[in-house]
Amino acid sequence: MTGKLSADDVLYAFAVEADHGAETLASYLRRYPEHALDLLDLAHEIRLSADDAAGTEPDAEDETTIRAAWEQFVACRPDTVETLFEQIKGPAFATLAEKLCLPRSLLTAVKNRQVIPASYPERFLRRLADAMAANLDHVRAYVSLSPVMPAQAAFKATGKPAAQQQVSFDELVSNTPMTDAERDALRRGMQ
Amino acid sequence: MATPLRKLVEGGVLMMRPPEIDQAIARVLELPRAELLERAKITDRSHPDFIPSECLLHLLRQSKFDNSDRHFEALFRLLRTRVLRSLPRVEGRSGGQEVEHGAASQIRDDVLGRFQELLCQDRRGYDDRLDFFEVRFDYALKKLRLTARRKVQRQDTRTAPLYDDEEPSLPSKEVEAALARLRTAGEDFSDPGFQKRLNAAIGTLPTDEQRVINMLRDGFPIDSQEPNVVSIASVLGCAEKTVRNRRDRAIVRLRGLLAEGNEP
Repeated sequence: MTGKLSADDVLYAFAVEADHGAETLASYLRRYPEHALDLLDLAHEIRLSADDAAGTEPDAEDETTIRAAWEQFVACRPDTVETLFEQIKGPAFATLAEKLCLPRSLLTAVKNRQVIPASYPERFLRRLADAMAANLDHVRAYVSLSPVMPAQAAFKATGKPAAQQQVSFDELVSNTPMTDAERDALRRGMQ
Repeated sequence: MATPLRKLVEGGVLMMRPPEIDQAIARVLELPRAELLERAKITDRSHPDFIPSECLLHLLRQSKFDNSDRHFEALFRLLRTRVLRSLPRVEGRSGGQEVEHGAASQIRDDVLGRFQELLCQDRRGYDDRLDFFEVRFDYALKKLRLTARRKVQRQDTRTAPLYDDEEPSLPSKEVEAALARLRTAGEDFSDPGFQKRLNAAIGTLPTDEQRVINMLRDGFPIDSQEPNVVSIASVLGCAEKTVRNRRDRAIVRLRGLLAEGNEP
């Protein structure tokens, strides 16, 4: 892995440490000051949950809920990289944009692979994968494919139609019309 | 042989399962399926045939390459029950404190939902976050528990009154004495329940005060001029005075909560 670890990675890594004492905590706080509050709260959660009554029988789940969970699980089939956005059209596309608090035009640029793949913040791809309920590796592979030629270009162009030049993710954010609040929310989501 | 994990951790190093988990996976892979299911029902960790949750998860993740849905449905159900077992009972206690029915139920549903989402994403391809669960299943779940608990707390604080960093009303000598007891709570063998009651009481403090008290218990200094020393003021990004105020205010609250007959 290159670059910074995501908050998820840091917190999971701390959670699965063999020891959660002060030394381990201090070492994580020193290495990941940007996730300090999350780490403190996780250490507290681990300490609190250690006091939970061990060995008690868990609450029983009703049969309908378990059955539905199992059916959802087996219905999941590997999605192919190329068809990642195929099921996300019309209202589903609008819902996805809303879920991510992104202008639709920005999401369209992502879908059409108009962004230089290496310029994507890891956190953005992770959020996108989560929101699409897709596999992160597939999302990474999807954005790394060749840019999509906009459908209308084939009819409008007088010469041979070509895909638009890719821009960096930062450029895309700067060039997309949005309110300052939206821009702030997007940048915060990347941290 | 267990399939290696794919998660890369700090420095680009491939994450490894603890050797005992790798060995346990190798053993369960040799078991006939009927026997495996019988053993997977054992919940007593000290039982010689107990199968760790890390192994059950590993088998379930491999199910995408297998069509024996009935076998894996049984495993899926058992693993889900293991997740439930690690969560506060809906009508029970968490962290030694009585949990309000609605909050515990929300935490339970949220954690189950997030875990299900990870399983589904992994089945569609590969979700390397589940690799952490194959290393230490119960502890990786704590991360989901934290996310769920915060969500519930956010909903609660929307209606909670704001408070400021006012001066507390407790002489500093008493604060020092109370702190000394906090630090040695784990060694207080004369009262084995004290540690648990203390954890529960700290859990009821406002988050800012919780953080200060927990860091003090772990021996972090309030402030330090040394660049390599992790201090409470630097981690919380506030002035030394603010840390002291939060500490003193927390002590006042804790004293009230831990007074006899007034336990959280």
